[in-house]
Amino acid sequence: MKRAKSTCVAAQSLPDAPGLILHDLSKDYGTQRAIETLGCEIRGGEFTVLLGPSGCGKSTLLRMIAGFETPTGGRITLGGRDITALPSSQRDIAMVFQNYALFPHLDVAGNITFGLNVRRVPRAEQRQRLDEVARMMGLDALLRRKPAQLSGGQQQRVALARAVISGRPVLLMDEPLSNLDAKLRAEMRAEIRALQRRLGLTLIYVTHDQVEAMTMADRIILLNAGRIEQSGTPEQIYSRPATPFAARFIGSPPMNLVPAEALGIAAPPGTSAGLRPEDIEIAETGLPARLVSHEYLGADLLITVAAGSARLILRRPARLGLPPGPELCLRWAPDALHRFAPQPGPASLPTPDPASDPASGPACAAEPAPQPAS
Amino acid sequence: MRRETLHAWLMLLPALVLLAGFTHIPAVETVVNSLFSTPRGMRPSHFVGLGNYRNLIADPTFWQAMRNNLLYAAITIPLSMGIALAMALLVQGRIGGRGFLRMAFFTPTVLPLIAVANIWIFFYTPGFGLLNQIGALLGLPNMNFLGQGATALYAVAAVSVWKEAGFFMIFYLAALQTIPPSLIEAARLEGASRWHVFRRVTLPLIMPTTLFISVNAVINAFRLVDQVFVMTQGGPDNASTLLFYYIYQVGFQFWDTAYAATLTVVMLTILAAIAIGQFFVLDRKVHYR
Repeated sequence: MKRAKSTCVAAQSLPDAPGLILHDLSKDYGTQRAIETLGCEIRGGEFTVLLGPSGCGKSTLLRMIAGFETPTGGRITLGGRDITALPSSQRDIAMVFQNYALFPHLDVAGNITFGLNVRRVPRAEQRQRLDEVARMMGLDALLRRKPAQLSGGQQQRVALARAVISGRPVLLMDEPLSNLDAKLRAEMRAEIRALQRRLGLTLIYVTHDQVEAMTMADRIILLNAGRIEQSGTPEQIYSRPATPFAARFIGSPPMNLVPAEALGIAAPPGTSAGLRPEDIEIAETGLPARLVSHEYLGADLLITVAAGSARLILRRPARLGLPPGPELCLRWAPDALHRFAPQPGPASLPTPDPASDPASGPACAAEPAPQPAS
Repeated sequence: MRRETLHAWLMLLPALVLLAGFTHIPAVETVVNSLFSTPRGMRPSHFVGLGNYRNLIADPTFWQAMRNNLLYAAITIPLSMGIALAMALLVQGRIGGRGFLRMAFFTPTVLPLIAVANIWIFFYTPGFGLLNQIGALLGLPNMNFLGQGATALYAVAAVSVWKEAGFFMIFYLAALQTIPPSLIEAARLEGASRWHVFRRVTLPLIMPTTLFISVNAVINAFRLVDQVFVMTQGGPDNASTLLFYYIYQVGFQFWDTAYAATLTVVMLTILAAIAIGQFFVLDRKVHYR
């Protein structure tokens, strides 16, 4: 059944997969607005993650791109072609569903070639493409099984294979890993990422899991309550969150976000200050604080401290141990401090200004803390 | 005998008595009776072997009932199942007045068949019946649907289709609702037309239900003949006599109990053969989740 055919899968690869542009897209359900008017570009050949908490509209957005939902307003273009009114099947888009949507009455081969059958691809070509994709996904031995006889990871692979065999350049994935256990999830993350690279797919991936987004994405579009909070590379969003929401959503444990006054920073009233747990150091001098509790994570130690009325979590390597006494001083690099203006809106104010150092407290000697953050 | 064994038998006893008394013993008795003659006043019953069966083969009314019943089954089973599926597909989707439609389709099932048959008599009545009034508006001649041999069986069959379709619809509706919408979406994304999705995805997934319904439909086609009693009494000239009705006539109007037993054995054999055949033939094609 297997033939030593040299047709490489890379032959399917699409060096210039088209990108998508969403123009002023919006969606209402009755009087409920699910997606605020938003616009963004999803670049061709990139791994884009739509990230956000449940109910933020990320799945709705994906379903509009797939053509299962009709936008209330706006347009979607794929590689310059307006696809807003096209039926799903004509959009040149493949999709992996959250529950995989495998046809339970068809075996693995039947599931994978379902679309080729529908489109009347000749038998010989079907068999050849099936062979290639099955080998690539490691499904050779399972082709005659029914989905019910497969493990979750295998089902996931079949769903991927069905999407890949279509040869369509754009692949949508809706929370594809949420039904897998943690170990398998980590494996599949790497596998999906490698597949996307190898085939040069434009991949749009919906998840609520920031770890998935950080590890896989070229670009993250962070959504909240139907609008885009921030979009950018994982590094950009992590190191320069545009909004308090972005700051809290990405990173585990999340960024400490406290009123600026609590850290002794001069700022307009209502300004919040943000510090990543790993950017706070325990030092001889700086902001006075008191140890509240700690959590041992193996490699790291999470230490909760109270600085005035504010609670902060800091992360340090566990081998450094706990500070000797309950009273301690905190400091951080100036550019580790993020400021967020009181009004909601894009207000990232990273502070390269040394004047806003942690103010000296009564118990700690006043000394600037010029350590550069990593 | 061990105590537990005794207890076990005592526990089983009520069900055993009921099943044996009303199902198993009568079934065996029926087979036995079919091998004896009917007892008449001066002549007690005596063994006749397959004599009753020989009479049956020579009995033109039996063959008439048989033909009628097969025709009746051939009309009512596919029609009621097809209409049931069509109605289920209709009220499954997002359409206005869905709740009302579902109720309307199901209502015939709730009504007693005897009452329904009486109402249908009025529809069929020559002269002022509903159908003839509508026909008159369209300029059609007056028809006596129940009173002429050419139409009586069809008129009776129409009532059972009307009655059964709503009942079967409920099963199809339940089956359709268990199909995840993402399966349909996945198929549509691959470019499958509505018809293709129905034939390649929906239909295979509701096959277990189809099998269940078809077995029930076959049994009903031979068993559920109340409307014949009310509407035609098998007439005119046996044109609407069904097997079950014929058994009733022979057994309780002519009091030829041995011959009625013979007919019953034949009917049960046919039903069992069909049901077993359905399971063996269709089971291989049915996907159970």
